[in-house]
Amino acid sequence: MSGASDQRSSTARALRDHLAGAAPFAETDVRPDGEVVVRVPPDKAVAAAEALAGFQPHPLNYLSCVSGVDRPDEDQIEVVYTVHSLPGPAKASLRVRVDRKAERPSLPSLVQVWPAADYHEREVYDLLGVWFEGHPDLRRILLAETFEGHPLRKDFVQNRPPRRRVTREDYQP
Amino acid sequence: MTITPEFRPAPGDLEEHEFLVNMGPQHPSTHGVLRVILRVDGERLVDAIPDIGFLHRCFEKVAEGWTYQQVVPLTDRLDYVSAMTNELAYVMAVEKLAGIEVPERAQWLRVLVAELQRIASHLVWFGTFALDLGATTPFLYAIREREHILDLFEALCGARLTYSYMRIGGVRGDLPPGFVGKTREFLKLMPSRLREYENLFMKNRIFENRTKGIGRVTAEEAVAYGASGPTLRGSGVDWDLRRDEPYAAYDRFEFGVPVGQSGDVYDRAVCRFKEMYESLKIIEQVLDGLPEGDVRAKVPRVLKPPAGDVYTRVESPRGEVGVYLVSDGGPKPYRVKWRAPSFAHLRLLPVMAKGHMVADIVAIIGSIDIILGEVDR
Repeated sequence: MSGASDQRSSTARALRDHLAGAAPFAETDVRPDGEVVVRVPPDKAVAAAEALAGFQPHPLNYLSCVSGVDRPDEDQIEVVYTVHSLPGPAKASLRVRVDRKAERPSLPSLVQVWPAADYHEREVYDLLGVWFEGHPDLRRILLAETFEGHPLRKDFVQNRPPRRRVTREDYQP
Repeated sequence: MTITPEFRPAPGDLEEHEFLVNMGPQHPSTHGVLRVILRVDGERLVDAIPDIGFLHRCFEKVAEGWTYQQVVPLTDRLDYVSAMTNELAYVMAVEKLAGIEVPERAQWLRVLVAELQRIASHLVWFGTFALDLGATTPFLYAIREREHILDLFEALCGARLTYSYMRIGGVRGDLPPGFVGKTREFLKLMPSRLREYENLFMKNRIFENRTKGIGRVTAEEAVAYGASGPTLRGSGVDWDLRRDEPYAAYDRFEFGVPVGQSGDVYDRAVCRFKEMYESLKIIEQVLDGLPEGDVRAKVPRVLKPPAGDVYTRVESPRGEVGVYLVSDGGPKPYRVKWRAPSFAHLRLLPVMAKGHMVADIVAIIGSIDIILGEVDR
């Protein structure tokens, strides 16, 4: 077990050094379990993702999960891309924040770097209302197209628009 | 906003000789409420667009309003065919966040029930997959064998489908009297039954003709689109979280990881089927070496993990189940994000289906073993 955790922490350090060269704008942090936390501003997200995917010898090629976290106290929505190397011990999370009060909070889509982001980004758009610029097919995925609002925002219940009956007209072209 | 009633979105570039066929959400071989819009050229599939969300039950929103312990039964209802591994993923996330040490015996029991669950889940897959391909008998056989496992689980925790057996810090209780003996009987019975299924179905010429070369996914595609579990291994990627990133007590056991080659429906099916033999091996080792001790650590009734976030993942029968858990230091989770393997695999469905016959889509959906409960959450 200790051998595996040694390998994890040495990989994490190597990844951090790699990012210092390939993505100097990123704010990095290594967790005890070997996860490298990478914080970047929205306009640098694609460059940071490419730097992660280009890490050798363990490219972070496997996107596990994209999670959106609403933080109304900070007026921000954080989008977390959890990525792993497959096969290999490297793991990282790329964190991008966007202003939640904007009319159309938008981030660059990372589908070009990790194709798996497709459905996950659609889900974040659907439930939290973050627009991903450059996404090939940004539609609601879990909720109906006629749904109004983004329910995983913390203030959704208070600010929910009055319920409206969906009529036949909604479905006519 | 306007939407066409039958097909959303109606593709604007539909060729003259192409048309759209609606499959589901009420369809016997979509395993629940999956809707797939098939774009066909005669009998050939040009595209298959999944449409999901019919079973959305706001799990992630509900979980934000309940305490950490109360969320455990909710996770049962996500992947309802493999409830034990779901609970395991969730309680592991809470334990990692709160820094709770789980007793050794509880870790072994977790492996025991997770592997029994894997066999039960694969048996359901085996039966329904055969049913999808037109063979009715294997379903009855598989459900008969699964009944043994459900009886064991019923003795263990009183429930047959949604167990809530995992607790934060351990498991609900120790094994009931007679459990080990009954499990050993099952271990003795099962290999011969599996060989019977193999001869009856997996080596059947009709089955091979229906599945070989269908729904092919290369190893690169499988990794890029986030495939996991047998869907990933069927494409020849040798990766199993139980072995490569051991959690619970998996690093104590010897087991093999079946890997396919061509990434077609047949290879995925064979990988899944062979996994059942490996699970039997693990269960036997657990029963032989089960340590004595507590089955549950002392955990405060009002659990307040320190603020932070954590991502844990386990190998469920379908693949990587991940939980991204955020705490703000309060008694309720600030955010629970569920990473469902079937959700990622659905993205691969169009990749797999392209160019095949309409009848093959049924085999392809069956081979990725989707459970809509965890896709829609």
